[in-house]
Amino acid sequence: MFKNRNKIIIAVFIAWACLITFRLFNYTVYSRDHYLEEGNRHALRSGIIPAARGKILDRNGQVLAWTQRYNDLVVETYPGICLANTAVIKELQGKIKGLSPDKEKEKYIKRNLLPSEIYALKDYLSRYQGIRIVPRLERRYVDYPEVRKILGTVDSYEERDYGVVRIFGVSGTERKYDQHLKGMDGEYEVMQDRNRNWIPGTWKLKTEMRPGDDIRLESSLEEIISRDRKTDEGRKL
Amino acid sequence: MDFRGTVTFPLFVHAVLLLLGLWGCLAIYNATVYSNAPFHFALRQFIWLIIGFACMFCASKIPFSQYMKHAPWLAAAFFIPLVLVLFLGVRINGMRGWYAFGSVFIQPSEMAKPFYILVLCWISSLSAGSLKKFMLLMMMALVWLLPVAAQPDFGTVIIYVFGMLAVYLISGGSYLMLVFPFLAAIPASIWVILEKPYVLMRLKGFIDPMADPTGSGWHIMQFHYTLARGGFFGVNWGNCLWANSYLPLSYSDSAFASLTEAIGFIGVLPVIFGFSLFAYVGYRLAERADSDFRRLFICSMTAMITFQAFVHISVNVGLMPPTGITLPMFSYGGSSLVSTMLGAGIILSAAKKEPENGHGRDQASGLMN
Repeated sequence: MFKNRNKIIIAVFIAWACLITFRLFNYTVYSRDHYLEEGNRHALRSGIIPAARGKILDRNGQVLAWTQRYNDLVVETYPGICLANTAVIKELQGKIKGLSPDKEKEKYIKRNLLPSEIYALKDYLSRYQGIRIVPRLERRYVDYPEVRKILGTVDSYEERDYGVVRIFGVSGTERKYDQHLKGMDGEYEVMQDRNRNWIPGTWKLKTEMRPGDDIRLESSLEEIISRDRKTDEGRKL
Repeated sequence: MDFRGTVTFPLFVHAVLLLLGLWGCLAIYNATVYSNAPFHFALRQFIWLIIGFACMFCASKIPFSQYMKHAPWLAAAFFIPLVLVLFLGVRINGMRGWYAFGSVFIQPSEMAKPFYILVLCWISSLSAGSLKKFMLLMMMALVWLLPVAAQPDFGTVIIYVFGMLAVYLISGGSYLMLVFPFLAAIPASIWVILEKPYVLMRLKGFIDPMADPTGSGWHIMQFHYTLARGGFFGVNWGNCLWANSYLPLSYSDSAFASLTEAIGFIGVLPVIFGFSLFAYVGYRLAERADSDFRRLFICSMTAMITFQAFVHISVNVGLMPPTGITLPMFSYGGSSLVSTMLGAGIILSAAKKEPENGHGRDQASGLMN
């Protein structure tokens, strides 16, 4: 009796071992490519390194327009993305002053984070999905209305897939030399964990970023201002 | 190979367990290499391996007749901590199943395994009738299962239930009786699913992992991807990016998948073969043991360790839903390692020929009815 029973148990274990081996072979060899591709699709994320828009300088090299980088906190709250519940948002609001809902109330935003605020978010970023620090580039100008008239304006749009804001010229020098100023975005690939945090050591550059060219105007800042004032006085007379 | 040899077999077992243990340390290092302290877990496991070896050596030196004689007392000594842990233990991962002594954690449900089998073998030796034996074994198993289920540690509950069924079947119990535990398992399963929603989530995730790939299906999907990344030859030790980044508990619950990523299909085949060989060696050894009690203990203990290993591997290759069961000798955990080696030590003791003193043989007569 003992011998028979023990034989049955051994037979069951051997059959089980065979089943395990076949299954293992399927994942590691037979269907490997399929699962590798699927895994990479879930884990790898492409991202854009926005090209820094070139500066606009006057004849003497004084900077008239430049691009400044800011960091915004974005807390997504729509279902399926965010695990940060109301209690977490309240906790965050206690730490980050000015975190408030956006127009569509799909997310909470706090613009221009201070370095100390970024540090305070360290633990939240690795713990919850949907809490992100999004870099934002903003165009800044010297504070002269006369210069602004010549330089023109820029607008921006958000490329949601990559979470970046692109700047483009809509009038004046900004528009005229947009192709030179805008440069070429770079592209990277990185593995992200379940909470969309980057996994150290997995960042790879796919395309190098080329910053925009600087544009030097033929006039100096003083000339632009005085020319504009003269024109204004002429109009008044 | 002469399994009856007084020198050959113990040496063989010691060598195999030492190799497995060292390989386990390497596997743990591999699974934690990207953490802040890559040697922390591997070093602790190595210390536990030394302690385990000492326990195995001591356990193998005690005559098996002593284990037989004192089986109820030994079982009680390991059962009491199992109950007390519910009141004095610490909660880790939602389970109150550990005693904490500073930075050392002892899991009594792991340590008690060899003595649980021992007491079941002892109960089996007391009763001759199939029904009576079954009832007694069931009652004893229930007594042991309750505190484990209360922790709650359902993975260990599965191992304990298998242990009871193994003792009953190997000792010649009727197959018909097995219908009852299966019937009893139906309402118990419903209760568990209703009381513990995470169990249902795990089942759902197992059936259709892609339905919730970042939630309940996450663990299953990561097993698939980790195994695929390992391929035929593996990505080599220390390069297990996927296991380190995505697999939950890659050094314990997901140890086999983590190992596969490192050494591939060809590298983990010896692990599957090794546990199958372990079961076969147990069988051959039991065949030649002196008494039915010894045979029953050797077979049941071997079967329980092999079962635990195969459940762990099955979970990791997607044949079963996640259970939280560790891979003996490979997964991180001192209690599991020491318990396995203690069990192996008692198996070695049972395999030894002893001068007849009558006690064990008399008690075990008629065990295999």
